[in-house]
Order: sequence, then structure tokens, then C-alpha cells
Amino acid sequence: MEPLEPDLTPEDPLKERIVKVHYFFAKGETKEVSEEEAKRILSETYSSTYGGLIVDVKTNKVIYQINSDVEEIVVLEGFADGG
Amino acid sequence: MEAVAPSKEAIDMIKDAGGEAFKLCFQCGLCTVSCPWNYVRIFMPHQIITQTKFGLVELGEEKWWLCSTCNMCVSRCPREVAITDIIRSVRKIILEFGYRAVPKSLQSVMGNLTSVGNPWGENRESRAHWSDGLDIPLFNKETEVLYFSCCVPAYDQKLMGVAVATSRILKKMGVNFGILGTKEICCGESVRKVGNDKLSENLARNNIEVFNQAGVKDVIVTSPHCYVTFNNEYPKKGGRFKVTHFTQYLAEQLDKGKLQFSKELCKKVVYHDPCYLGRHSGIYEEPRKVLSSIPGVTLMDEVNSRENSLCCGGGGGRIWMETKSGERFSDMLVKQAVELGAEVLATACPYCIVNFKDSVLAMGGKDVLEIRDISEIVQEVI
Repeated sequence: MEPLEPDLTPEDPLKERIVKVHYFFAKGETKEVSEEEAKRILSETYSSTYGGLIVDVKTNKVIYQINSDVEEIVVLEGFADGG
Repeated sequence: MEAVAPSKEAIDMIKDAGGEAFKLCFQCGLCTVSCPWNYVRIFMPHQIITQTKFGLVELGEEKWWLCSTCNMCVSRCPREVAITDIIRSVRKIILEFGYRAVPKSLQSVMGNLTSVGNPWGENRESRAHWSDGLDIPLFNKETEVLYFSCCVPAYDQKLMGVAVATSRILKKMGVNFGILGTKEICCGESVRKVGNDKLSENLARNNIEVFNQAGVKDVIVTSPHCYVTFNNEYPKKGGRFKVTHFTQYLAEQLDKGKLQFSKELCKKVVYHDPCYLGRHSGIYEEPRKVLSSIPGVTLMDEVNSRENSLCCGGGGGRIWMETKSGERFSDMLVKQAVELGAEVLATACPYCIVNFKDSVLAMGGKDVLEIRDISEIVQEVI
């Protein structure tokens, strides 16, 4: 078998970076959003008093900002008011 | 930062360390709105519970060391989740797997307790120096009551007056009491709350052995932290004796007519309910009974009193950790007492007194407000 040629096509710098978002609890959905939208979701999660958390799927750690290496996150929504 | 991986293994570790209570939480958020930290910064216990449920525990985070185990959250939780036990279980894991993340001051306290049995690393021989010149006998087979002063009044110059006052009152009332002098060591409460079960157990076993050998049946304590530990932890390890907090003892003597006041104290006194005497032990009436019986005293409650009393910030090992200016609950309590027009802030816990005295000092000195233990007040008027 011939070895695979490495893909040397340069990434389009104008192409929007996509972050995959999984909602763990109530919404139970997965969607792909822009990096900006992912940052907004994170900010909304932590600015509310519901006590939600964002986990980076790659590192399995709770994160408090969306860095350029974050590709997929899980939103553990808080359940204030009784769950 | 190091993390315990979010996996069944991490969750099991938390459960094994005593944090299984997280299963009961239905995320109502009442713990978060009750937690005193939210007066000074955002701190969400219900979020912490989610983290532990999923094993998402980041060992280097400061938040694991903030809880002062004041029990406000536990006392209000509709599911009776032992939130402080969950936090203690994570602290245990940090001690085992991420010791570097343990606050340095706490590391030093644990080292001192291991080597000499007191948090400051003071010479064990000097534990009873507070009693010099008071002619207090060492506990022996003929002695009825043991007075256990707690490390803070035994070693901290600012608090020695509390142990002295207590002993003078006991003497004046003719109580057959004694002390164990250099034989007693720290009760082990605060290291237990920071997750060091092994050290706490060693300290407890030492005291239990000494108490049993001496034939101790009745103990009077100054500190509500010793009170809770002797009552809740020592019996599990073979320490069986009756424990009385000094305010309980005084109230009892008032009822019997054995405690009488010969002087007046014409001052406005606000009483602070210590967490470990109040919420942890349900002792609210006795201190008030003693203070309100003193002629001349105008007794007032704090803005938040009894079950709602605001913590001074000293429990859960916090007394050994630095709390930033602007984040000290004791500052708020001193300020509130001054605004209420109080001249004296009275309480019945050495940790509260240490914190209040520090707050008064930061606010300009003694003229702001007098900080006194109930024993010191009573000694002055009998």
C-alpha cells in the first residue's frame, strides 16, 4: 500500500472556527457553533447563579474560557429552582 | 493545574473519602444563597456538588479551602446534604494527591500538630503556663471535673485571659477541678475539617488515652470546637465522658443559685452565636441567659443571630489560613455591632475572639469595640 500523502493544503484563515457543544441535561442536544457563540455560551453559564459548568471534552477538565485549542465542550447546566 | 480525571474512579474516590452525600443534591441552590462567602465574593456550593458528582475535581483550585464549615448550608438544605462532608472529602484527596496545593500556612500547622501537638509548634512544656500563679491542681483520681482550655487560650497571649477567667470562676464556686497540663494536646477538630483524618485520629487517641488513664468523667470546655469533637468524634474512638461547654455550666449554676453577681456591668452587649456552639450544637439560650442575668447589661442580638448567625470565618481550618482584607466576615460582624451601638461584643469561642480582635485592631483599636469571652465578663462581676 502506498503511504498516504500528508494534507498540506493551508487552512483558510477566513474560515470560521467551529466548536461542538453538547448540552448534558435538560436540552440534551448537540450543536455546532462559532467560536464567538461558544464564548457567549460559556460566559452565560458562568454569569448566572445556576451553577453550571463547562467541560472541555479533549482534556476532561472544567474550563473557564474558550481557548483556540478547544474544539468540543459539554455544558453541565445548573438546575437552580429545584431541578 | 492537576486534576482528578472525570471518571468513575474519581467519583469513587470522593465517595470513599466520605463525600457520598452529593447523590442527594437536587440543585435547588439554597446552599449557595446561604453561604456567607457570597457577601464578599461568588462562591457556589451547589456548583461544587456538580463538580464532585462528575468527578471534575481540580486539585489546585482555591475554592476547596474556602469553606469555614459554618454549617449554614447544611442546616438549610431541604435534602439534608452534608455539604461540608463533601468538601472535606475533596480536601482529603488533595492532601493525598496534590499536597502542593494545600495552603502553606496549613502545611505548617499540620507539621506542628504532628510534632508537638499544638498548631504553633510551641514547646509542649509551656502548655499550662497560663495557669502559673493560679494554684490550679493537676487532675488526679480525686478530681471531679477536668477543665480543657483548648490550644488557643493555652498559647495565644491575647486569649490566655479566657482560661484564667474560667479557672477563677470555677475556683470561686468551689468546683473540684483540675487540668492535665502538659499531657493534653489539641483536640484535632480543625485538622479533621481540613481532611487530615490520620492526624486528627492520632491527636484524639492521645487525649483519650490520657483522659482514660486519669479517670476523667466530666470535662468543661472553653471552645465549641473541642465541644463538638469530644461529643461527636471521641466516643467513636473509646472516649466516653460528659462534656459541658462553660456557658452551659454557668447557666446551670445560675439555675441552682450558685452563681451570683456582686457587681454591675452597665454596658450594651451584643452576643455573637459561634457556629459550633449554635448551629452545630444547638446551644443558643445558655449564653444569653448568663449575659442577661448580669445586672446592668443591655443584651442585644446581632443583625443575624441564632440559627442565622454569620460565621466569624475561623472554622474548617480557616483560622490557620490568610483571609484577604475585604473578605473577612469578622470585619462585617464588628462593623454591625458598632452600628448597633454595642460597647461589648461578647462570644464564647476562642476562634471568634481571635478574628474579632484582629478586626478591631484593623479598624483602629480597642476603642472601637470591646471583644470579650463570656467567662471574662462573668469573672469581672462575681
